[in-house]
Amino acid sequence: MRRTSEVVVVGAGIVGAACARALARAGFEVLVVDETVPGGGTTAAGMGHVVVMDDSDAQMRLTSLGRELWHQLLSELDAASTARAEVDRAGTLWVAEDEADLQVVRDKYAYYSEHGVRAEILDENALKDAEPELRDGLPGALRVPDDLVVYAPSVVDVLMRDAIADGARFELARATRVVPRRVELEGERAIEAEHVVNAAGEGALALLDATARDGIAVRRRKGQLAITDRYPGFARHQLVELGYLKSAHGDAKASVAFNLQPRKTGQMLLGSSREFEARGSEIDGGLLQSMIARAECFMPRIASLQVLRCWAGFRVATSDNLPLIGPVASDEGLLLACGHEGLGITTSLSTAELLAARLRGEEAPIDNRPYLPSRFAQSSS
Amino acid sequence: MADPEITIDGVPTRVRAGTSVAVAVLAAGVRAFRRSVGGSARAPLCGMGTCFECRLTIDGVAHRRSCQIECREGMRIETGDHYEGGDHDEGSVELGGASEDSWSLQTEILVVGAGPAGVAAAVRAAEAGKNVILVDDNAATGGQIWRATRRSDAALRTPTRKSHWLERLDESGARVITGTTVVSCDGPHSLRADREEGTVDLRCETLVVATGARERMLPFPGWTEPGVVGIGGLQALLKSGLDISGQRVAFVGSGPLMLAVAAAVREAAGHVVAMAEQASFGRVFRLGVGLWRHPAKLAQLTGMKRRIAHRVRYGEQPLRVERATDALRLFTTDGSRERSVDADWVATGFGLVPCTRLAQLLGFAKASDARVRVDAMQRIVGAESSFAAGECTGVGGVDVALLEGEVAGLAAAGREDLARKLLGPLRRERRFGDALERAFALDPSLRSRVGADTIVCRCEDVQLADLETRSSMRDAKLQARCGMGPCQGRVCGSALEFIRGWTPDRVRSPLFPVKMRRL
Repeated sequence: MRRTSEVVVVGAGIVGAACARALARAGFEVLVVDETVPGGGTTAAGMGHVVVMDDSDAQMRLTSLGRELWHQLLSELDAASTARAEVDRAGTLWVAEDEADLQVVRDKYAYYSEHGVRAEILDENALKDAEPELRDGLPGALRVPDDLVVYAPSVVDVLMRDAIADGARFELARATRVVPRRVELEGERAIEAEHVVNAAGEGALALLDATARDGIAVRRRKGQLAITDRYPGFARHQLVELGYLKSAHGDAKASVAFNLQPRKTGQMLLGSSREFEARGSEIDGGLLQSMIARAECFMPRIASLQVLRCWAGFRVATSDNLPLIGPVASDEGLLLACGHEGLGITTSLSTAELLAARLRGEEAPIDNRPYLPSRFAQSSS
Repeated sequence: MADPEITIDGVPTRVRAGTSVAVAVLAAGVRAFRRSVGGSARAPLCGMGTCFECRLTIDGVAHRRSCQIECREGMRIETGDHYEGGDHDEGSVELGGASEDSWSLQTEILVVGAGPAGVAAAVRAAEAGKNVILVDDNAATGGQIWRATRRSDAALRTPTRKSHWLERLDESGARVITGTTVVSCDGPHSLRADREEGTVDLRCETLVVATGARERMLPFPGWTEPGVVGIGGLQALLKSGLDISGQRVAFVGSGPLMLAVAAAVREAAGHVVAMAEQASFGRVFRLGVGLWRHPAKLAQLTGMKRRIAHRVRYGEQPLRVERATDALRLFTTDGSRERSVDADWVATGFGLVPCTRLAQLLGFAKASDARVRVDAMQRIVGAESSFAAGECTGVGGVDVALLEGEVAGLAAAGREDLARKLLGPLRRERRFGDALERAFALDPSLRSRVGADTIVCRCEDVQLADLETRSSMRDAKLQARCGMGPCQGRVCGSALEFIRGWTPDRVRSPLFPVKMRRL
């Protein structure tokens, strides 16, 4: 059985939903397919931290644009949606452990300021005031006040609702293969379209034929999280140690970094860990304990909080830590929107904006070349 | 054992030894233990540690299940369960180092759950010469139906079978560890448990899962009022020291448990003012007629019934509970006529649901399984050599649980020859259990007793109306927080399974909330 649509988006996670909304708003006829409820996959496993990151200029631009679009989106939400999205304009504190870290803080401050991102350096006392549960002796931190925290699955619900209001449709279906202008589904069905957007996250690359995958290699990085019962006020900002950057952008087989998020409910969400070559989504007790021990280094009393639940999710990382946004092999019939590692939430909206501009034939809001899948192409076209 | 003196919100009081914290607080006249997320007053419901409504701050530590903790000399109990900034262990230095105990125990056979099935399994395995550890979340052995009775409960007769088995347990050589909750596992040979003082790592060659069943609660308007408890919940509170003399109890729900607990209330000098059973008289009558095959059961059931002064109303469903001046007012209906009755307690419950979460975490059951599936030797289907017995394999009553426990214990100890001899009696006992299930099956019209603004998820104060556009339990959880609280969907999940036909969401560790450093 064949059907047609102008655009088919495979994947209704935060990236797919953002693309669906942007494209439907631009007047395209959009069909979104996903094998599970929208926002029910990796999006539900992540932290919902909207954060500007400086691993590279390209990452800075993409996260910056993403964050700007987030502020715009959130300003459009009604009170009920804002409450459900658990929006918290908490800001991020990049915490320094020692003098070397403090120098990194100063460099970061300079870089952020150059790029128009508001930031502030806190000294030891200011840091203790801002976060009383942090241990004594931490020399300072970089505060980024415009970063924020959202509950992503709920935002996906909002994005899909908007997309559907603009004429998009959603179908619960499992894609088995995508090629330019066609999506094959389980049960020998297929959908034909002018453009296919592959936003299938963890499963995205497996849907592609070998030729489309040309040169693109991704690795799955498993992450574990733990969420506590309600302890309002225990932390006020998203707290990230500077070592997080080493963990996120590095190559170690397994690493942990202190990353704590206070949720609007008063629960504390603790991460982070990264593990290559992990098999399944069962919790690795040893790595979890390392993550907790690392957190205790910064916040001694955190380990006394009651944990309700632990879970794991998979980030998809390319070799240069930038996502894949754009056509495969210069064929506009198949576009990728995946490979976002730990920045899927932040850059979902900027990803959607880049793709929408492309399909509308407009100029991209930022230089889109660093994210093009063709940057990995090995065969000459 | 001396009677301890404790303080409740700063007020000193002396309680009988063995009294649970929840019962002590109820006896002190406290109506609201804590406030829900939405600000409404809450008090104990399930009485057995699965609903998390009884949480109090005890000795400075917030979020503790007061129904599972026995009072101790000098204990400081505070209602309101507010966060106080983490663990307030005065005098203990916390700088990230482990300031707690941890034990590592190794055994041949590990039995999880010390209700009748677990006790029987442990006894048989130990008597067959194996090293056995029996572990349980409750303060004492016995599970729910044999929950520790106290010396003042002369009126609540201790079944001789219980004392026989517990004596045998004492003599068997099995090591019994209570007040210890299994929270996670790394395969069936390595489990982690949590107790007040610290962590217990349990390694075993063979595992026997005897995690029992919990009560199914169905929401109706007003069911979150303090004083509305489970039927099994009321039984648990009585056995943990609750003095109900002179107090009125109205029952609304389903199942033989209602008869048993009503009898217990009467024996404890309480007044049973109503018994509303949703099953039709016809169905239960047919069960009664069929009981001629089980004379002992017939005697048991009719004996129970005779002791109850009040008539059971069949085909009767809950409408709502309201708070009157000094009582709860329960409204019920038989479809045409509405009735109301005033009571101090409303005891409600609609059958039992096998506890399969440990089996799920082990990969031996799916969230959609109604029970843990076993073969004739009580070996878990799909597991290499792990066993399960009792209510978690299907609700069948205490006679079935004991026999299943014996079979599992013997088979786990390599004595299938002895186990085989019990299969005949077990088959006969199971027939009665199956007949019970059929007689008390839930009427589909109960689904409409939940109103749009009735709270369905008590932990997160989610109303039925919030779930209107949701398509599955997972969707309800992600989008409406239903099932995200401390009970992790135990109460709302079982209710929605009946109301909406939704499969519960996948279980995750820890099985019960645990201090982060103990994960």
